[in-house]
Parts: sequence; structure tokens; C-alpha cells
Amino acid sequence: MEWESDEKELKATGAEALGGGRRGLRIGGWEIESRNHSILTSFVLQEWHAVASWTWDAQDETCGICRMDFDGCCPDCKLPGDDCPLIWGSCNHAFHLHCILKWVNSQTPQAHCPMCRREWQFKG
Amino acid sequence: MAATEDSSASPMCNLAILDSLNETAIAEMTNSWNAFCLATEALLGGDGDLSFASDFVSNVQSICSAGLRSLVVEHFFCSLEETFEKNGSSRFWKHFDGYSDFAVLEMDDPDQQGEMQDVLHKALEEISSEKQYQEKCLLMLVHALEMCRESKSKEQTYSDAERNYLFSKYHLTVASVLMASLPRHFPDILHWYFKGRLEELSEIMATGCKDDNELQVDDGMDLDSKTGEMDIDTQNCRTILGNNKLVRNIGVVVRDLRSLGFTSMAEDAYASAIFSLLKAKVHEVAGDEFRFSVLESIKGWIQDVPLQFLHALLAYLGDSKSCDSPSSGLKSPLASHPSFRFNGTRTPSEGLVRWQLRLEYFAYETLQDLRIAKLFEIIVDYPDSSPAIEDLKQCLEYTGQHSKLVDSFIASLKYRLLTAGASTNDILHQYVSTIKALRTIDPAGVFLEAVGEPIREYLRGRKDTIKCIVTMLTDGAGGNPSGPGSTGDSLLEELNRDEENQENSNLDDDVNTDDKQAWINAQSWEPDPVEADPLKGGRYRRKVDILGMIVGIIGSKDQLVNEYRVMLAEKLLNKSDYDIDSEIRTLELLKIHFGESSMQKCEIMLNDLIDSKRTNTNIKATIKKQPQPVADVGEHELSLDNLNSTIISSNFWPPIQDEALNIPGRVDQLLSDYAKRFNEIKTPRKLLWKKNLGTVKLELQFEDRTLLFTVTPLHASIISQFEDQTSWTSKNLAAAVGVPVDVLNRRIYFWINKGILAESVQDSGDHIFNLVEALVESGKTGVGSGSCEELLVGDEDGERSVASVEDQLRKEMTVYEKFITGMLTNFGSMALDRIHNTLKMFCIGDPAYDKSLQQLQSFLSGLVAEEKLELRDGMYFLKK
Ligand SMILES: [Zn+2]
Ligand SMILES: [Zn+2]
Ligand SMILES: [Zn+2]
Repeated sequence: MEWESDEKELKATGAEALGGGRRGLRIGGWEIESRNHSILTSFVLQEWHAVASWTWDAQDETCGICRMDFDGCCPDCKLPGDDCPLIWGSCNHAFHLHCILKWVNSQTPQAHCPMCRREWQFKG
Repeated sequence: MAATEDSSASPMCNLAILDSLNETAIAEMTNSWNAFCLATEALLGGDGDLSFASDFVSNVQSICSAGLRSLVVEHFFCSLEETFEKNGSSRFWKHFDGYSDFAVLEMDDPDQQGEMQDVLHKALEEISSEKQYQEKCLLMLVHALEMCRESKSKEQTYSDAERNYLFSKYHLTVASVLMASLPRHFPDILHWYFKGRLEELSEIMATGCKDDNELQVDDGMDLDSKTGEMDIDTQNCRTILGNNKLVRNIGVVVRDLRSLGFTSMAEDAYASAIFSLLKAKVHEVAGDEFRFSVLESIKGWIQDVPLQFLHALLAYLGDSKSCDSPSSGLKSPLASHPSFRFNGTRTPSEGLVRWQLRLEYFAYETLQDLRIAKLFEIIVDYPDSSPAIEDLKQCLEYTGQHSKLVDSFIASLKYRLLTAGASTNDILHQYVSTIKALRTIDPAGVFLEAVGEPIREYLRGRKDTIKCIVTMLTDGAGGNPSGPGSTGDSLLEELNRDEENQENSNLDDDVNTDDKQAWINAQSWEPDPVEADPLKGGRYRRKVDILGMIVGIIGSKDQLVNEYRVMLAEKLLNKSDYDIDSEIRTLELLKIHFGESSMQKCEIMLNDLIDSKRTNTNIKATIKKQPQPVADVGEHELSLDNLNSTIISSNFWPPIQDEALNIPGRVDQLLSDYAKRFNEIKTPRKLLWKKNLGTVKLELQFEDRTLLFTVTPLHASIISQFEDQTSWTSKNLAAAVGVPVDVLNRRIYFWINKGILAESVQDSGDHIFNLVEALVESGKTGVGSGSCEELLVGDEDGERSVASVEDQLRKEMTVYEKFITGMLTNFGSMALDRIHNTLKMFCIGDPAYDKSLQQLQSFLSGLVAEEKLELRDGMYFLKK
């Protein structure tokens, strides 16, 4: 009701109805129109940008040589992942590649797995 | 000196001579004495009638020959003093009776001024002529005494000395008579007299110089070229003043005052007039304008007006000395200042140089006080205000009153800035501006410590300080987009540029060494030794380190780096385009300042984004090799093409909140597929999805339009539940989406606010959410908009899409600007609730007006701030 009197007031100051089946007013060169909300017809998922973390598929969490997380990197590396990969021995123990290489090189002539003391062989 | 010995013998002693005379001689003597007294009286009291002169001389001689010379002198001076009191001083002071009320003098009435000027001239003229007449009489006595001495004896040598002695005794008498009866308001009269004359002169100089300017330059190059012009004009002004009648008149007044023994009073009066004029000039020139240096033009004015005036005045007085009455050749016993003698050559006299130093010191001090009082505003305007800072620096170097600055600035900081109403961002920006501005003045940073401490102390008490600091350092918008000088560069970027510039201009360092020492000497505000950071090394040699002073607020760089890492994580996890160019740039800058090892983790985070982009491309490539049968045959099929991912090395990221969420099944399938392909490429690495993180671009199609949203996975999951079922209870929907009911209720308001969903409450108390299908009644939208604020508050616990929701609101409001402008064009002015109701009534369509009164108000105040609208007495107007 309050708005009705406002509407009268509006009209008194030069506003006019839009007409032609449209609901609204024309004032000062502007058309202000009321419209219906239309019905939602469909959803489209344009892009789903997901987030994941990667992890090494290993039994242990940490490297038995450097004690660092497998998901981190060895003490000599700055970047984890592809740059500091894991390697498995035939005994199924995993180490940072860089860690076991250092170990193997220091254990001439024959290296043993630091975890199980079996002869070290890279898993083919 | 010999003359002094003779005459200073006591009269008592001389009277002993009378005893040795016989009676006739005594009678004769008595006659002569009486005649002498009569003649003296007639002579002094007479109006220039010198007919008694010969009588006077002969009587003096006869008494002197009897050895009673000192008696003669004594009596003559008594009469002189009496007569001067009567004819000189009391008449003189009477002239000024009308001005005893000081209020009269305060008036700026030119008639009053002119009248007073005339009175002073007249009074001085009158008393001077009386004095001259008395001097003539005194000269007559001197002649008589000299003749007497010559006839009697041989000692001519000290007649000059005696003459000088008598005249100086006379001047002493005149001065003491005047001083004894000096009315209290006379110095004020002199002050106002000189002030009036100087103002007149200053105007003559100004118009004189200006006229010349107009002849010389037509292109109105204003302040920049001013000093240059002044040099040329000074010549003209000089000639103007040299022959100026006004200066001559003032000269006469000063000369007369000096001869009456008012030398120092006259000088005090014109000095105080000059100083008050100078003070007014400094205030006028300096004002509240900080964008131009004013020091040079003030110094120019000192050269052009007061110094030219003093030059002319001193020259006039100096010239007058040689040709004036004998009196002015003598130094008044009351003169406390050495008299100025202008030697007429181009080199200024010592007196003039001393004046220049006094005036400049005063100008420096006045300007300095003015600038210090406005230092807060000046720093707000920095760097536009750097000319004012440069002026202040020079002033302080001259006056050494740095402690004034420190005290006053700290007081205004506490009053203006360190209040609950100021945002942390504003305080930080003012802090940085303060450092930047004051390091010009204080290159060693000695007192920046003192000034900065209250700000640092205050900021430490605020929760959001670290966050604001990191934003300011690393964000291009600087967190203060409306601030002056926001070039879109981060502070770090600016500091870096700054440093390069400093390195290029190391030459300045030697020049500044003296300044630094001056600073250190000018203490009394010794910085708290506890606060003097030992890491910064020797206080005397270090440069002001802005970053160090900012880190100093937090305490350690580790905390700052940590905060940056959290913010970086937030930012990176919200990216859907892998575009991290600006983050890489920022990281490089941070590495420069904080060291590579501190930034190691951040580097890995950025590297993850680069790797993710590459891996994502590789995974997409596997699809193209072996085309996948379409998994989901529907109207809008979904394939791996629609899925991208960011793969993080979680060990190097800050802890990430991993919350359960049931995403739409078809998306879940895609994720598994994607993970499988990753595992194939990267064996033995595998993916662990964090399903609640990421961004979703969603298109909602209506009958007549399409809306695009970028939302969180949770929002996407909620709305997608309505694809198959258009109505849900909150409990069921929460279970379907896999989140607690309260989380659902909080987050679902996003869609209600967008007008996509509607909420209703059943009798049972359950909340029901429906897809909106019918006309939205304007009354109903109020529910949604009211709760929208709640959504914003609820989202403040660090969850994403906060900023984007806010931005979206602002963007949406902008649509109504044209309606508001249209209404105001038509109605002239409207109150807030009237605008609100009108918008509610007519803007039901696209886009529907669904904002709260508060939202409208804050939007309108934005328009007011942009000077598009004006708010007066609660009514909004269009700004014309
Ligand atoms: Zn290792
Ligand atoms: Zn490694
Ligand atoms: Zn093993």
C-alpha cells in the first residue's frame, strides 16, 4: 500500500507506465521494467578444476637411508617427485634413488640393502 | 678626560672660592650671578630671541673668571633639564595621549593609521627643533667657556673634549628625561608605525616587481620560474627603494628617535614589525600547499623586501651622520646595538649580514613549525608532498630543532592514526609513507626508530597485521587501490627498484655524512637502545631499510614467509589457469630479500603448478591417442576435456583442510579415470584427490538466458543435486552432498542469494530448498539478501571464494547505478529508503534488485566517494 502512494507520487513527477503489457515505469529517460524469473532448464559443468596431491606408492613413509619422507626429497635435491625418484630393490625395499646410489658406491665390491642386509639388486 | 677632572669637582668645593673674596667682589659676583641666571632663563625659555646672548656671554665670563665655572655649568644644565621637561618631553608625550588605548592601535583603519603617522611625524619634528634650539644655546655656553679659558690660560687642547663631554651630558639628560616620563604604550605606537610603513613598502615592492614581470614574461610559468625572475627584478626593486620617499620618511623618524636616545627602542620596533610581517608572509606563501617548495621564494622575499628596506634605511642613516648636527656623531649612551654604518659599496655591511641571518633563521623556524604541525597531512600526501619535506629538511638543518618534530609527530600519530577506526592497511601505508618521507630528512634513520615505535607497538596488537603486511608487500594492488601513487606495483617491486636507484646514486653518501652527524648531535630524543636492532649493525652507517622496518613489526622474517606461504597456497589452489607469472616474479623478489633457502617451499609450490600444467597436458594427450567411448551419454556430456587438475607435493604446502564431500557421480568417475592415467604415466606415483578443493565453472541455463558461475566444488555439488530433484530438505541434501547440515545451511545461501534456490520452513521446522521457478516476489527476496551478510561472515574462516562473492556483490550493484542516476535526475534528491523501495518495486527483472538497505547504503557511499553523488541531510543528490 505504501508503494502505491509512492507510485502515485512517481507518476505525479512525470513518470509514466511502460504499457504494451510491460510492467514498469519510464522516468527521466530510463525504463525500469519488472520481469519474471524464468525456469532453470539445465546445468552444464564447463570445467571442473580439481586438486590432488601425489604420493609414492611405497609401503614405508620414509627413506631408510636419509630418514626423509619419500614424498619429500633426499638431502641433495631441491625438488621432489620426478627429480628425486624412488627405486626398489629386489628385496622390495624402496629408497631415494640418490640415496641408494651413494650407498651402493660406498659398499664395494658388493652392496647390501641397508634395511634387510640382503645383497642389493635393483628391481628389474 | 682632563676636562672631566676639572668639571667633576664638586660644587661645594668651588664655593670655597667665595670665602676668599671681599665684599665688593661678592656684591659684583652676586650681580653677575643674578644676571647670568636671568639671561639663562631668557635664553632657554625664549623663542629663538638671541638678544640676551651677549649679556649671557659676559656674565658667564665674569663668573668663570672668579673660578666658579662649574657652578655655571651646573646651573645651566639644571635650567636645560627643567626647560626640556616643560617644552620638550611633556609636550611630546601629550601628542600620544589619544593612543593610550591599545585597542585603537589594533585597528586596521587606514585613516587611523595615517593620523597616527602624522602625529608621530609632527611630535618628532617639534621635539627635535626644541632640542636643536637647546643645543644651540649649549653651544653658546661652550663658546663662552672657551673664550674664558683662552683669555685666562694656555690649555686649548682639551676644549674639544670638553665640548664633547658637555654635549653627551646633554644627550644623557634628554634621554633620561624622556625615559623617566615614557608612557607605556609608546613602544606599541612605534611598532604599529613601522608595521604600517613596512606593509606599505611591501606592497610597493610587490606591485613594482609585478609590473616589471608583466613586461618581461607573458607565458604564465608560475612558481617554477619565479626565483629566476626575482633576480632580474631585484635590480629594479633596489632602485625603487633607493629613492623612495617612504624609506626617507622612515629614516627621518629613526634618526630623530635615535637622537632622542631611543636607538634601541626604535630598532626593536622596526625589528618586531619586520618579523611579524615576515611571519605573515611565510604563512601566506606556505599555507597548506605541499606540492611546491616555498623556501626559495621566502628567501627571495627576504632579499627583496626587508633587506632592501634595511639596506636603504641603514644607508640613509649612515649618510646622515656626516652632515648632520654634531649630536648624531655621538653614540647615544642608551644605544645597546652598535650603530650600522653602510659603507656604500656593493658588499653588504656586517650589520646587514647579521640582519639577513636573523631573518632567515626566523623564516626557517616559522616554516618548520608550520610544516611540523601539518606533518601528518604531508605524509598522507607523500610523495606528492616531497617538496614540503625537502623544505622541512633544510629548515631543520638550519635550526637543529629535530626533537620538536619527533614529539609533535608522535602526538599526532597517536591522535589521528592509532585509533580503532583506522584500518590496519591505512596504518601500514602511513607507516611506509612515514619511513619514505622521513628518510629524506633523517638519512641515518635515527629518529625513525623513535617515530616508528608507537606505530609498530600498535600494529603488534592487531590480528590482521601480518596478513596485511604480506598483502601490501606482494600484491600489486597493494591492498589500497584507492591510495595515491598506487601504480599497481607491489611494495616489494617498488623497494627493489628503489634499491637499484640507491646503488646508482651512492655519491650522495659522502655529502650526507655531515647531516648524519648533525642528526646524532641534535638528539635529546635518543632512541630506546632496546629497540635499536643489533642486526642492522652500526647505527651511524646504515641506510634506512624499509623492508627491515616492516619486518620489524612482525618480529621475524620466518613468520612473514610463513604467512606468505599460506596466502600463496590459497591463491594457487584457486587458480584454474596455471598462470603464475606474477607469483614467480614476487618469489624472485622475496628470494632477494629473505634468501633462497627461506623461500624453498614456496618455490616447490610454484613448481608444482608448472608440473601440474605439463602433466595435465600429458594426460589429455593419452585420451586423444585412444579415444574413450563416451562415458556419460546425456544432453551435456562430460569428458576428461572438462577436467583439469592441480597436483601438489603436499609435504611442502601448508596444512590443507581435507573435508569429505560427495561430488556428482559422473565427476567422481572422471577423477578416477584421471588418477588412473596419472598412475600409468608416473608409476609408481599415484594421486590422492582433495575433492573439496578447486574451482568449478558452471553454466545455468534458463528459458531465456544463461548464467555463468565460478564456484567451489561444494557449491557445485549442492546445485547439481537439484538437477534430478527440485526440492530437498536440508537434512537429506546434507546427506546427499556428504557434509554436516550446518555447513550446508551456511553454504547454500550463495544460491539463495543468487535467486536460484528458495528456502522455506515447514511446520515441522525442517528447511526446504526449492529451485526457483516462478516469479520472485520482491518481498521474498528480502529473506535471501538478509542472510547474505551471514554468508560473508561465515566465510571469513579462511574458506575460499570469499573475495569473489564480495566482488560479485559490488559488480551486481553497479548495474543499478543507471537506475539511481535516472531517478535522481528526475527527482533532484531522494532519501535512502525511498531509493531502496523504488528499486525494489521496479527492478524485479534482470537483474532483480535483492539487496538489503545496508548494501544499498554502502554502494551509495561508494558513489559519493567517487563524487558521482552527494549526500546532504540524509538526501542523495547528483553531483554537478
Ligand atoms: Zn633418502
Ligand atoms: Zn634426490
Ligand atoms: Zn631390503
